[in-house]
Amino acid sequence: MENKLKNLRNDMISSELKNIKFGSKQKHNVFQQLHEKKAKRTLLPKLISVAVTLSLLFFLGTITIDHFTSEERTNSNMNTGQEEQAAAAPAGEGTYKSILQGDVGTIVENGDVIFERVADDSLPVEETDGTMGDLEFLISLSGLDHSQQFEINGEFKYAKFWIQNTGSKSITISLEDITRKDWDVIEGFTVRIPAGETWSFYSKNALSNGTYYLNFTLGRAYMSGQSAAIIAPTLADLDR
Amino acid sequence: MANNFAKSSHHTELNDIYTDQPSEETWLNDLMNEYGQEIIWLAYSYVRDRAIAEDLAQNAFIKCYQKREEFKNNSSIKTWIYRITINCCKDYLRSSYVKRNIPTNMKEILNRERAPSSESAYMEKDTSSTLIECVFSLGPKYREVIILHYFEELKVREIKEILQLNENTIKTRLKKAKEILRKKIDRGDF
Repeated sequence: MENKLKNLRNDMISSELKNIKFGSKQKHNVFQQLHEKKAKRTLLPKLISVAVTLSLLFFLGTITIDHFTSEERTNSNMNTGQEEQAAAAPAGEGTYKSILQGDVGTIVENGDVIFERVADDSLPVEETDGTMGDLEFLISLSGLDHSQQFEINGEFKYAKFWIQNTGSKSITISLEDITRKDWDVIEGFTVRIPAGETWSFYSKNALSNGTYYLNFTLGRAYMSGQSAAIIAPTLADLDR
Repeated sequence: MANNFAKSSHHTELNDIYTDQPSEETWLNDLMNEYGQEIIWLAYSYVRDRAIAEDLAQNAFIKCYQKREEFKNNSSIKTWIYRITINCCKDYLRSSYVKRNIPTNMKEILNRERAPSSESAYMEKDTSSTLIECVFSLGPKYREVIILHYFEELKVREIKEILQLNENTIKTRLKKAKEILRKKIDRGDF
């Protein structure tokens, strides 16, 4: 048996394995398969890098669009601010917190409401003979905010207000009619009085009977200054 | 010797074809020149099918190329490439493809009794072919050691390295395989 097995190799090569050959065709197949695998391996990183690049571009694009959108928004806000600063908003935009600007004598119209920069000592201090108007209130401003109540009754339907802001921040004012539903803020009165300035304002239209609040708000600092209001039966009587 | 036989005329024939290859491919080309023939015969001894043996041998060389960094120079490249080839063959025989598609052939491949292949059909009455048929009829673990020891002319120590088995296990299997072969031949099974 051992001898027979020792001849196994020669026997198999001369018979069973006679036509089994590893030749150039097989070698070629090996190299071909290897090159195909290599091509796949090099293609994959390329595809990944393309995908990553596209994702990056998309991401950067999104950021840029966001940036420009926010810039546009800022510009838009700035424009609004400028418009507000000019206090030239048309009637019906009374909720804008327009900041009043101008030297003494400057008149700004905001719809039916007329604002005028006046001298610091021009506040009415007491009722004087010969004037038709009544001094409704004269108060000192302090604290973070204040609401001054006043009434409109009978024939005294016109009102003129003075605000002297001696603080370091602008004071936002608004006029509120609490007899109206939801305590509506009256359009056109909401403005910001700059620090160190005195302004007067009145509406060309008569106020309806009711209870009003003139609101003063500063928010992040204490107010300092004075405020006064005169009511009169006619528009002309406010300045008499 | 196996190596002498492996260094057939293919070596000079193919060296000219792949002269401008990168060094790794030249290495693979040399490896195929050196062991290509032995590897395809080894694969054939497992599957006894020429086309499958060709595929398995090619796959074995591709794996050698891919795992060339793992080859340790302190071991023999011959045992390394044989181990890779045998693993390829065993993976193929264990694969779901073989089990699913050729369940009947599987038994034939692993335990051929009286079904000589077409390649060897004409040798049926020859005594050497009887032995060959007997060898192919052995169970895989016995046929494996017989092929490696008597056909590939490997020493038990080398077989141990390739199959990662204990030397005594190999010796026992060789002994038992020879007993089975003797009995088969004595019985006139082929």
